[in-house]
Amino acid sequence: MNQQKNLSVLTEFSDALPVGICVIDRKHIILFWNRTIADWSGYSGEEMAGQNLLDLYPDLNTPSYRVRIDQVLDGGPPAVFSSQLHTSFIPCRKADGMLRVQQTSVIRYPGSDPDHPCVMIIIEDVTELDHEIRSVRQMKDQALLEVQERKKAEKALEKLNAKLNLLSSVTRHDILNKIMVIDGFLGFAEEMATDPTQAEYLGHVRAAAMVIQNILVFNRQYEQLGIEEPTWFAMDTLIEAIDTEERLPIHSACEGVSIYCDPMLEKVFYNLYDNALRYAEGATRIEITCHPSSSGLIIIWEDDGTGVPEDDKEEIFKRGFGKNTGLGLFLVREILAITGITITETGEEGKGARFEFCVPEGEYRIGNPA
Amino acid sequence: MEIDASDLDGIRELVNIGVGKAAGILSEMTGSTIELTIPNISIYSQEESGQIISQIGTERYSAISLDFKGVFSGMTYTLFPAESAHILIDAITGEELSEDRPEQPFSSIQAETLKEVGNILINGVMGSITNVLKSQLTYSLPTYSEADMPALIQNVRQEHREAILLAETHMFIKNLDIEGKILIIMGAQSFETLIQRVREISRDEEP
Repeated sequence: MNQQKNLSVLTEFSDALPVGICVIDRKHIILFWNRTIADWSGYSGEEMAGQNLLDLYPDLNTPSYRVRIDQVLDGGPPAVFSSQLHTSFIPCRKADGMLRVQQTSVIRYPGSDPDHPCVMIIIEDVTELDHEIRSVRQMKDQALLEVQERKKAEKALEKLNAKLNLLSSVTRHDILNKIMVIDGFLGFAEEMATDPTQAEYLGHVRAAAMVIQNILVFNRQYEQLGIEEPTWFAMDTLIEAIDTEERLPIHSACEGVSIYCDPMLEKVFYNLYDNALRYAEGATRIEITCHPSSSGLIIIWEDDGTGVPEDDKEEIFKRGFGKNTGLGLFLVREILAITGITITETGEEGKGARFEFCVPEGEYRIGNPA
Repeated sequence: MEIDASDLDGIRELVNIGVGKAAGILSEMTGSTIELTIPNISIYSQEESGQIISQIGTERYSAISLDFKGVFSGMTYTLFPAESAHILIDAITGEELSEDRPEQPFSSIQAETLKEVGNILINGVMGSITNVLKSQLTYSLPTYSEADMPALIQNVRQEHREAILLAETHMFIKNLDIEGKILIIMGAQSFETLIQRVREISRDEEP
């Protein structure tokens, strides 16, 4: 009588719960079947009451279920059934036909008569959680696979790159040797040439040979770009390393500033200085200043020479521009770009050249040792 | 309470019966033969609990716990070291074993699976103990956590951690060696009750 009263109390609250609840007795006869499990299974509480659970769901009659349920009926600890080892305790399908994934706990029913023990089976639907975890795992496995593939491809590219570098180096070496031979024989030919037209043609040949030589020198430098990891450079050290001439001293106001850049950064400042010596007619000094801004650190390199004409401000960074090799500022921009540093010419013609570097946040430090 | 070698033998037998039942259930459930070695038993008083830590270290364990009350009160744990827990999950769910798994945390579904395996082991052992005690206990639902040994011991109520029974076993699934420990932490009275019953049974069985 008490048991029936307890079950009616159970009905009142368990029908509102989002878990399936079933109570069975020692003989596995169903005493209670709540609304949730009725919805899932399609069988009402009235239909299920009095039926043998193990007859209705024969899988539960195997030792891995029955022995453990009986252990609880015998007074043993609760038993849990995970979704990975038992997809469904009570197989039920969702409206889309998909089997509900369940996590189940079997506990001794607290309201049962000690002489007639019962167990309560509590079933949680974890279908959504299971699918989410599986899809996350699939994505993770896919990502790991892609990383492995990428590593393989990187190794293959490294090998290929090493081969190309070797080929390029050998070819460059051989061509430079031949240019030296051309240079030598051109010298003899120029000495022997008496005809002005012939001398002019030989001059063109020499100029062309020099262009080839410059291209190969640039090629050697460009090949070094990005090979080594970027690192921190103190501006003071870089400026001090430039071998300045008395007529064009450098004044720097960037004490304690360090920037993160490709190890070829030294060439950047050397190149700017060399350009100033060559083209900044009348220049008397070079000023370097550093100003933190909202977009990063702005480094200004300026001279008081003739400046750069408006039309050439962007052209000077293109390969092939200029009176010398036409490779210097192109290489400068490429070196800086490795760590996201930009360079533009913002000076005024007639008042001097002004190169403005913008170093992104995180790529510079002020006051910290390099 | 002084205990001797025959008390330890009696407890080893009890735990072994429980572990044997658990192995049978796990084998049937996974479709693979699962063997559990005869457990190595050690007993410590509360004052000696530091010795457990020095003996088995302070590594983090996947722990399945179950609280029990009655004539015998305390907490039972099944513990798996991280690496063993990952091998166990892979072995019983048929997933491919991978070397970098111990670095990855368990999903809630995997933790639930470990909880079930731990639950089977605990139920086997507690079933054997309650059989000899001939008394009904009340239990909490098993829970899963990850913690080191000092935290696990601290987790038990003060009055229920006067005696610690440590059973160390190895589980073999598909030639994989999985280390596991069962820890029963209980009050002094509970421990005495258990030893008394073990002694009574031993006397009854004497020819």
